[in-house]
This record gives sequence, structure tokens and C-alpha cells, in this order.
Amino acid sequence: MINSFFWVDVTFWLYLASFAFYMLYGFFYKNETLGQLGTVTAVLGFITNTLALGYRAYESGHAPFANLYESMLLFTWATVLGYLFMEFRYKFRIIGAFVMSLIFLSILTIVWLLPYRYQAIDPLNPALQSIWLEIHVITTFIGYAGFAISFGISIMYLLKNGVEKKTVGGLKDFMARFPDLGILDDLNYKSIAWGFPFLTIGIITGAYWANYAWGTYWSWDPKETWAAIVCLIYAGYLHARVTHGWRGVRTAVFAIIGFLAIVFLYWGVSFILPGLHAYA
Amino acid sequence: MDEKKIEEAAAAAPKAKETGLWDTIEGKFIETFSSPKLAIFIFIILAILSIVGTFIEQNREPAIYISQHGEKWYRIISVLGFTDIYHAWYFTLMIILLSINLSVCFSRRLPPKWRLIKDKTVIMAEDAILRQKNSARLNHNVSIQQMRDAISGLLKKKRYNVLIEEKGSGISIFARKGAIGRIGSDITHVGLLAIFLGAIIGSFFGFKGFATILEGETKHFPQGGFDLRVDKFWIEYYDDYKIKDFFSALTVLENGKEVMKKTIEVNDPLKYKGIWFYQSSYGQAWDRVEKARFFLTDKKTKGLVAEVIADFGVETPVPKTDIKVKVIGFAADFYYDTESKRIFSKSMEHNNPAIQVEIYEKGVLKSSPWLFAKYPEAFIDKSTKYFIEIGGYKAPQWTGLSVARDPGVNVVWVGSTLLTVGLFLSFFIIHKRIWIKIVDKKDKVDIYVGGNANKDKINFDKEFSSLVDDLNRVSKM
Ligand code: HEM
Repeated sequence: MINSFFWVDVTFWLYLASFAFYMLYGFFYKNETLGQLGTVTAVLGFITNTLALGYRAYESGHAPFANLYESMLLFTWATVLGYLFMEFRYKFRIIGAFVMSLIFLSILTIVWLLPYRYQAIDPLNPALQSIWLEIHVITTFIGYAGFAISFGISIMYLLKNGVEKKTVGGLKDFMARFPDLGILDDLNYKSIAWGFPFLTIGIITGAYWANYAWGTYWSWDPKETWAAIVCLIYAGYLHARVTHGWRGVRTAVFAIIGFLAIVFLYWGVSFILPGLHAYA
Repeated sequence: MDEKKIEEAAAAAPKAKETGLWDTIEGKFIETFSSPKLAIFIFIILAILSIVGTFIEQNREPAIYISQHGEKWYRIISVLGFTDIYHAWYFTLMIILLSINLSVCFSRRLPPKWRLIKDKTVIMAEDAILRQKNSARLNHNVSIQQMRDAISGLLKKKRYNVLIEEKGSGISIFARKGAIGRIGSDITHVGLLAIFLGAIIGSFFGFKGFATILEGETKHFPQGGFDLRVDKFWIEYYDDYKIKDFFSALTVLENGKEVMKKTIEVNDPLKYKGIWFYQSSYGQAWDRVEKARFFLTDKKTKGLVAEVIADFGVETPVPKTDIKVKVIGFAADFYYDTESKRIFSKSMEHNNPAIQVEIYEKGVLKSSPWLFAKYPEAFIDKSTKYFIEIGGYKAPQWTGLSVARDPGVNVVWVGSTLLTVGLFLSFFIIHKRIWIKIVDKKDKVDIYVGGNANKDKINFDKEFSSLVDDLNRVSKM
């Protein structure tokens, strides 16, 4: 039967294939076709991911952002879209190996780790019934996507940098396909330059909505507070980079810390800390 | 290169006319507060404080902290202000320092930045051109005029603003675009200041409250000098009885006259005279009932004799008996205060609902006991041969409205808009500049090309090398 679960399953296999192709292309065989297959399967996965979201919206009658199962599908959707843009523009397929491994982990979480109750379709509680839900969630997740890509690139930077310092011949060969350090650093900045404004819009639309729904635009609930913390970290990154000329290892580490804070903002706050955003 | 110049101009101590103490203080102040280093330091402090605030619950009763952390830790937490950390003096101080930092930084950097944006110096020496981040030196055997027209055509097609000056045997060209992107960060910073300002206005001149109003009741709001009446309250359910939405039909009254009507629901408030009413909760009245159902059993036979539904305040005959009951009081969470000897509901919850009734036998008032819905046998009324038990009751619904006025909120939205616009300018409008010098060498020309972009080096590299390719192609045309 064709329903949203079916499309999630198909997406899972396509992302797995894409991840495998990018890995083989990036690290094991000097074969362009493998890389192209990685791209093709990523595009197909993106399409079925879109279908999964669309079917889910159709089945539930509301935008598919009401719980973790649905929002994780949105996360993979936005991140793959962002990555495909980047690949199209800059043509560094090796980055796909890192981004797709994160995507694969995410979709594995969706189908395997997440408690079953999240797969159930829930009606929207009254506070969520607003067009602002859609605007707020979509912009936030475009932001997350930018930061996720920057996380992958930062890991690549640290790997490449570590190996270049040690000049271990074999390993160096292993990373032959990595772009130059300077380019990685620039791409890292580029992804954050996407993530930062969109997360900001996400926070602002959330505040606007909160003000409209219950009369305060900021109530220091843990989700809001962690969103502000994430912004502070990335503002630190931007200032260190622009005004102090920080580059390379230090900014890569900064970006990794920023993404860990996002993971906490997204998962940790929902499961560990109490607050308004308990539903997603 | 230019960033450095701005940095230096901003950091330079103000020219001291005298070297008095005041000038030194002023110099130190500006030096400290114009530094983005201080900003990063404040970011770190704010981040740490915020994290602390998410792990320690905020604004709860002492008992909750004591049960979570123990008495000793509670004392430490509360002395440090961690129970309301976002309003602690040091948090506010950090925001103030950040605002000063932003303002000083802004005013110190904008003038040199503005000069850079406005800079229209076309002529640059050959060696200075070659020192740019991207540069190339070409020579071709075409005429200098032909070269000039080709270059200016190329650059204009790429949407550059092109300035040309001819001097002696050479032609200088300066092409620029996207200078506005440079002030993106300043717009962002101003937006941020506006948000802080809006928050301050709100906290001084706004108010927030909560009102519970029963269906049909009217409440006066002195802050706006008007009354609000709840005409109706209702709830909508999904098919599986989960709550879909809830509504209150409201009427605003001024001096008794109806001036506005609106049905509010979650996510759709009413606004009148700058005061917003938000649908936020609902519940059942805790101090009154509309009607109640009673069961009467014979104390001896234990058999059910009759059942009756009585409206509040109405003497209601119980069928098959010579008894009448009248409901005269209600407490949702029964409490008897031994000092004042008063009975009232100790919370809004229906934890221990109790109804007071008057019992008449043959028209004579026999007693007026309190009956407990959950503990029917706790106090048994002895005045008649019947045992009376509550079989249910209907309390009127109240609607819970959040009431707020925030005169600063629009300033916050203006600030948010500026902040966002600034981010897009700053990240997506790149300031690119290209200087070219064409030197006439009789039957050929030497060309010096140099340029830079304030960010997105990868793209500018591409753009620059394609420009150089195009220039190389000119001579072959
Ligand atoms: C939470 C507060 C702040 C936020 C969110 C913020 C945000 C930003 C952003 C997004 C940029 C642009 C970065 C880029 O172009 O990559 C920037 C640049 C900058 N910020 Fe801030 N900022 C904050 C506070 C401050 C403070 C307090 C100062 C004062 C020293 C400051 C000084 C600067 C400077 C000097 C630049 C570089 C400006 C340029 O030449 O374009 N910022 N800021």
C-alpha cells in the first residue's frame, strides 16, 4: 500500500545507497560514475522524502511538523536540498560523503530508534493550529540544515588538517579528493551564512507567533533559550572570523560546538528539559 | 586590507586636546567598548548564564527546589539569583554592557566604513593593483580605446558600476558593486539595539495578567477603562474527543454601550485600545453550580427512593417524598478555615467538591448540611429519614484570558526586521571592487587588473579568472 510509511522506507534505502556511493567514490575507487550515482540516488531520495512529507500532510490533514518523526523528515529534506544546491554550485562531491552520513544516521533514527508512538498521526493541539507553525518550522529547519552541512565540512577540515600536518603518505592519498583547506573554510562560512539568517527568522517568527497566540514574544522557555544560545555561539563564530580573522581549526571547532548545541536544542531540550515545546 | 583600516580607525584613541584624567578615562572607555573582543566575552557569559537557567527551573516555589536539589543547594541557588536568572542584576548588566558595546562600536566604525563605501578613487598605481588579493598582468596588441570599451562593456554586463579616468598615456578603470552589503552588519546591530529597547519599553510600560470570567459575566479593566463581557464559551472536539479548539464570544462595553464584538479562539486574540485578550485556558467555576442531581435513599431499607435535579437557589420538591431541597452553596475544593470560620474553595481545581443544601420537610427547614461528592458518608445528615447523596452537578464554565499590553512590541518587530534585513545584506551582498590600468605601449597595451571581494572568495576567484579570460579573448577578436 502506498502511504507515507512506504515513502519513508523507500527514502531510507535511497539515502543508504547514496551514502554508500559517496563513500565508495570519496575514499575507495577513483571512479566518477560512483559519485554521479551518489548524486542521482540523493536526488531520488530527496524526491521520495518530499512525497513522504506530502503524503503525511495529506493523511493527517495538517502540515507534517507536529512531532519528532515528522520534523526529522523535514530535517533530512532541508539538509539534502541544501547539500544538493551546494554540490550543484561548487562541484565538490566528496562533501556528500559527510553530509549523507549524517542524513543516513538521521533517517536510521526515524525508522529505527524513535519510539513507535511518534509514528502515529496526532491531531494538532489548539496552540499549533496556525500558518505561523509552517513558517516558523520551515525557516528553523533551513537554518538547521545550513548548520548541519557546516558540521560535516568542519569535520572534513579537521581530518584534512590533521593529516596534512603529519604528512602520512597513505592517509593523505585517502583524502586526495578533499578540497583545499582554504576552500573548506570558506564553504563552512557559506553554510553558516545560510544557517544563521534562517535560524534567526525562525526565532523571530516563533516569537511573533507566541505573541499572537499567548501574549508574550519571549518567555525564556528552554527551547527559546537554547535557540538564543545557539545564536550566541554562531555570533561568536562570525565575530571571531570577521573581526579577528580566525580561520581554520579554531573556526571548525567553533562550528562543531555550534552544531552540538543544535542537536541539544532539537533533541536534548525535548527529552531532558521541561517546557512549552515538549511536542516537537 | 580595508578591514584593517576600519579596525584601526575605530580603535584609535580620540585625539586628546589635553592629557587630563578625563581624556584618559574617555580614551580607555572607548578603547574597551569599541572592541569586538568585549562582545565575544559577553556572548560567552550570556551563553553560560542561559544554560544554567535551562537546567535549573525558573520561578518555582522554594519547596520544588528543595525537593530537587536539597536545602543547602537551594540556599546557594537562590542567593546567586539562579531561580530567576534572566532577570538577575548581572544578566541585565550584561545586556546593558552589550548595548553600550554595540553603540560605541557602531558609531566608531560607521564613518570609516562609509568613506570606504563612498570611495571613488579611480586611479591606482600599477604595483598597488598587483598587490590586490586577485591580480593579473596582461598585454595585447589592440588599441587602448578598443581595450577600454571592451573592458567597460564586460564589467557593465556583470552589473558593475564603472568609473573611467584618462590621464597621460594611460586609462584607469574602477569597477565596484555591492558596497551596501558592508553596512549589513550595522543594520543588524541597530536592529538588535531596537529589540532591547522594545523589551525595556515593554517591561516599564506594559502589563501582563490573567482573568477568569464566567459565561455571561462582565469584568472591568481599569487599565483601559472599559468592560468585557463573555457571552458564550464553548469547546470543539476531534472525533476521538481530543480537544480541537476553544472559543469565547466577547463583547467590549464602554459606559455600558457595546462597542465591539469578537469571538476569540486559541491563536486569534481580541485587541482593544492596545490591550490584547488571548484565549488561554478554561475551567469550571469553583464557587458556584448551576444545578445538581441528588439521590435519596431510605436510611433503614437502603433502597433508592428518588432522584432529583435542583437548580441553584430553587426549592425543588423530591418526587415520592414530602422533602424539598435547595442548593445554596458550592466549593470545588472544600476548605474550612478554623480562624475565620469560613468555608471556601482552596483552589480552582475540583479536588473535593461539596454542595450546601437546605432540606425542607413539609415546608419546614430542617437543616442545611454540606454534602461531599467524593465522600458521601463523611457527614450524614440526621434531620430526616433519608440519606442524600450527590449524583452530579453542573458548574458554569469560566474562560481563562491572558491579558496583555505591550507598547514596546512594535519596536521589537521593527528591530527584528532590521536585524534580518541586515543579515541578508551582510551575507549575500558581497562588496566587490576591481581596478584596471591600461597603459599604451604604441602598437600594444599593458593591462594591470586587480580586485578583491570582502567575502565569498571562491566565487570571486572564479569571476576574476573568467574576467581575465575574457580580456585575453579581446585581442583575438
Ligand atoms: C548578540 C549580539 C550580536 C549579534 C547577533 C551580531 C551579529 C553580527 C553579524 C551577523 C555580523 C556579520 C558577520 C559577517 O559578516 O560574517 C556582525 C559583524 C560585526 N559585529 Fe556584531 N553582533 C552582535 C554584537 C556585536 C557587538 C556587541 C559588537 C561590538 C563590538 C559587534 C561588532 C561587530 C563587528 C565589528 C562586525 C564586523 C562588521 C563589519 O565590518 O562588517 N557585534 N555582527
